[in-house]
Amino acid sequence: MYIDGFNFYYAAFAEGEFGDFKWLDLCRFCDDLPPRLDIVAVRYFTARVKPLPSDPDNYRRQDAYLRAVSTCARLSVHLGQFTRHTAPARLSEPAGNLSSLAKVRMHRTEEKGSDVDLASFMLLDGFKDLYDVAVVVSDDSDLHEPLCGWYATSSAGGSGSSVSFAT
Amino acid sequence: MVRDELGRRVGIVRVVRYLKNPRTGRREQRGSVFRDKVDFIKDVRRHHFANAQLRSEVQLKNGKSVACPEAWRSPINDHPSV
Repeated sequence: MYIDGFNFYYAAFAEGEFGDFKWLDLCRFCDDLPPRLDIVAVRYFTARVKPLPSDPDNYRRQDAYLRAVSTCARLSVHLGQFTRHTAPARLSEPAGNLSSLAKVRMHRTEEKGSDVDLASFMLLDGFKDLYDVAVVVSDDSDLHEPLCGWYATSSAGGSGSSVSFAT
Repeated sequence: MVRDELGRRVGIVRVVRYLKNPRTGRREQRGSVFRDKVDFIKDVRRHHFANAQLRSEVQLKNGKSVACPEAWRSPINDHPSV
């Protein structure tokens, strides 16, 4: 199982309707999902969050959670980078005295590397013959290529011929 | 690549999300970007989360314990079956 932590968190808890269930046992959750498979490993991809002025304890909650879920021997946590910076952006609609063309500086938080790490581990594990079925907990279109192959979206479409490399 | 180059089955587990259709005004399930591209797509629902909660206090391997943060506590974490 490959869990895209931030994608999952936002879909289920932050924007979704399961906010009461954040203290989730990821191994048990994966074991109970249909179809019932023999889950040999759970890879959880996330990044350490940084305290926000509006939520200075967010990193403490995450740290507690990472320690709790790490008690499952089959689970490994893979940490990417969490960045925060300010960047200019135009307003989408007028606000106060500002017209819709006005530029303002906005806080932007980004999580870097998790999707690439997830795709890399999934391929590497596949090459090592560590699984028969890879299950990805995410609906992030960035993972389309590593999962489905580049020609799945090419103009030719379908499952065309693969590329062979001269050696 | 995992499917086509390595020949492995690939499945997607996703949280069901609903969007309001502006034309009909009804809530409709959002489609998956992986539809028709993977071997299976499973939607997770409330009972999958409810049945897989950690104990409110988890014993660590070093003998210490870690408690569910207060902000995350819900009645289900204190249920005796958890």
